[in-house]
Amino acid sequence: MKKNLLKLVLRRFLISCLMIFLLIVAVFFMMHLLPGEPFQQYYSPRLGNELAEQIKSKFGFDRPVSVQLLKWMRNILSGDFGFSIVYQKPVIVLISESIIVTLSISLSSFILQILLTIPSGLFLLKHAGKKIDFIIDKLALIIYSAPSFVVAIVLIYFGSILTNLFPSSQLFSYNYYEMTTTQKFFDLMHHLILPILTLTITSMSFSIRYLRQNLIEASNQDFVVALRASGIPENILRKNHILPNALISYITILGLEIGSLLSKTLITEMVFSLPGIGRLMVDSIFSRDYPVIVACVMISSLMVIFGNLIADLLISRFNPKSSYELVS
Amino acid sequence: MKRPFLFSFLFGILVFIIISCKSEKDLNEFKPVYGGNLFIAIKNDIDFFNPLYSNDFYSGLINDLIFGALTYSEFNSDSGKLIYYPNLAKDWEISDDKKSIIYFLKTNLKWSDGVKFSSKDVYYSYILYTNPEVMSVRQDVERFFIHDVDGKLNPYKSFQILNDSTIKFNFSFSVEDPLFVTGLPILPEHIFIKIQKDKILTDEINTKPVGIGPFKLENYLRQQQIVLVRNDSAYYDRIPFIEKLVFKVVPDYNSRLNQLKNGEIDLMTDIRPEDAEILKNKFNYIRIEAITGRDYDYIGWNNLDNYALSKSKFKIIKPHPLFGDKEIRLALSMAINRQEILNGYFGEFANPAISPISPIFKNFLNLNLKPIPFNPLEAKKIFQKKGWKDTDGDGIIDKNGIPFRFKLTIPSGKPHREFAATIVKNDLKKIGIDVEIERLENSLFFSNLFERKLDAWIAGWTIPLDLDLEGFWGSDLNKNFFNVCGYQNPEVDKIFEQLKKANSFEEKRNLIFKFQEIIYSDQPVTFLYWIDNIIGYNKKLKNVNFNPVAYTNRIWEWFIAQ
Repeated sequence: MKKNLLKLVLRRFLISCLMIFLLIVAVFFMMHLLPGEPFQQYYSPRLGNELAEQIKSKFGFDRPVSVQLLKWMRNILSGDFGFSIVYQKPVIVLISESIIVTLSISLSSFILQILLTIPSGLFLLKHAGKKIDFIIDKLALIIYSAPSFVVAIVLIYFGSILTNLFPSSQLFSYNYYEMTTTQKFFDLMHHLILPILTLTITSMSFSIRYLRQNLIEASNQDFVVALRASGIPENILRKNHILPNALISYITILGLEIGSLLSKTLITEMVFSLPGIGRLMVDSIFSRDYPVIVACVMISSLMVIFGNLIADLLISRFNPKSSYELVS
Repeated sequence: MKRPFLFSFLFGILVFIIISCKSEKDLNEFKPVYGGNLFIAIKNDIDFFNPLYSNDFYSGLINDLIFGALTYSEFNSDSGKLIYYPNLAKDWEISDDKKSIIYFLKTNLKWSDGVKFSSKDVYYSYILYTNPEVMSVRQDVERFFIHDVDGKLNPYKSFQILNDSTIKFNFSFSVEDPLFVTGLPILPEHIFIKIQKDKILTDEINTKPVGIGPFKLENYLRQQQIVLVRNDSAYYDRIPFIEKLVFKVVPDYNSRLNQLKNGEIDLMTDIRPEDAEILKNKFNYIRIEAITGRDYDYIGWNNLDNYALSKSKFKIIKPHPLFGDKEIRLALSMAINRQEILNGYFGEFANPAISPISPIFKNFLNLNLKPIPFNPLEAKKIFQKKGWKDTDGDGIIDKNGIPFRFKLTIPSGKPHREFAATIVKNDLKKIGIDVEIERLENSLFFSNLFERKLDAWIAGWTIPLDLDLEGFWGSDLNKNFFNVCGYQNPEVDKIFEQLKKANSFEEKRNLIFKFQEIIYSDQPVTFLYWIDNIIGYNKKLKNVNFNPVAYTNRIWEWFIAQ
């Protein structure tokens, strides 16, 4: 069993490395094929593009793409992600500043989503076919079909504009640097409630329906029917037999959810003006800040691959049979 | 004779009493108070806390509050001129031939780190601005100063320290406005001298500024906020009433607008006309003001055959098959109802543009030129005269088998240009011209524009305060990168050469008048409108006086009513 797991991890690691390498090479070339120019900010009516060309050459962006790629790869091995053209800062500094924001929003909403989805799923199973089940199911469908920014705008309207309970943007209050650590924490929480709720609600809209469906299917399986017939109480059946069975596929979805969380975080960060990795990536794409784009792609692909790996490991933990299938 | 005099005298006293009472009331009502924070929303983050490199509107604005210049300038709407006031310099003397200027600096000023300000700072600042190794975006200022025979700037002859508080600038020719040329923000010598010149661009000083201005940087959080706190009287002699300025970075327009409505921010610029009306009518605590500035929109017609140009790597220059003829361009201008765009989108917040000289430059605006009338019939006649007729009956005019069909490219996400493009398309359709509107993402749009790949487009420029427009209209396409429509006219080039040597106001005015006449007759582009910057601010903010130079003009006089 352990050997299989190790094999699985090793295999996935090697495949992941190859995938990231190919992805980066593709992104690197595609980015340079993309029309547009990161040095437009240095254009001026009097200097024309002279200064832009000078700075381009200073950063080595006038060299062939293949040379730039090799240099970038050599640097990456020594932990150097390059230098941002727009921010004039090492990319690693930008990434580390932004990733904390993204991870705190996405992980909080991820955990909150799990904590809310499982009891809600069991509740819906209990009330399957009733009015409340119908209402929640349709509501979840509506939220799922709406883009996440719509959810964000609705929350801003009710939470900020109408009731003035929460700030509609930013990560901290303007004077956070004058606060004590405890005050800072509460201030951060106050600012993050709406973004976290946005992500949680949008993610839950899918997972709750998915889990509900799986729970209903599991509750109709032959062994459950047999156990039910043998007189085992329904609540024990749900907890010990139906839920573990339904959870296996839910966990797979959760793993994939990690990857999509990042794309949802991206929109949330834009709407709430949060300096996360999503916003950094979008801004960098618009300004053609090549070194930042590549680093962001690398980080986000790592997050997706890592999410999938965790999902696989969890599945093999819950369903040992599946680890053989995954390895083979 | 006495009675009317007595009557007038008494009436005068009465008027005086009424006015005095009113002023007294205003003064009591709006008594300036120290303290309070002002929250301003900005749509993008600052690029550099360093005037050597900052090239963006908000960055310039914020840097001007942190770094002072020798003089402080503001635009006088009545005279249409820049007026200069002492700032880091207490006085100045311009030589009769306008080939030099001496500044007498204030001796009581200190940088925000406590080091005394002196003429060495001014000298070193200009060394940095003009040194190519530094790669400053303002390095073009060197063209005014003295150069050696090898063409390199001679800093010793150009900038002379006379003593600790006196500095002299020498120019290579008579400069019409020496105060403008020497008006760049001053940098601390004791900080920058420690940094290698070619390393300044990437140094951390670009996020930790040391300056002398009404405010200093207290906190900066990338993509979040810039907090400026007022400078202490021990460092700078102009103390603002407002304690802190908080610039909140909010990229989304609707979020900024909502924050203005719910009081999270106190001031926002670039409000759309339709929202300005709503704010004006429904939010009684918000005041709306519009500044006519230096931004205009135009329809660019590529004057040159861009295909031949790019194919031959700028060797073959021939007129554009559709827009190469100035009469055709004039007809296009006549066929477009600009007033409809103004009425339909901007309302009172824009003025029709006739030439690239803003109406705020009253002394330089050639009032003999009237807006090109909307006259589709006349436009049609011109097209017919030039051989453009609908020969195949498909509703589109053609000549030698080529239909008059083109793409009008606009940058995406600009509702006013979207609106204008639709009007243009509809108007031109009426005279048999087929227009396809193409929307491009901003970076891609400008990339294609500067590579001269576009046939027709709608864009906008901001004109410089010194009205140096050669970069936009000079014939040398390699040198004048912003002449994206490829306009070439030797007469205009001659004017630009003469403007460089013009040392009197009258001479400059006459030349700019002539320039406008030529541009008007050549119609290299169709000038659309001068756009007002619509600013909304909370009425608790008092004594506000916006200026076309910067909306934070005299911010030290603003205060927040308690």
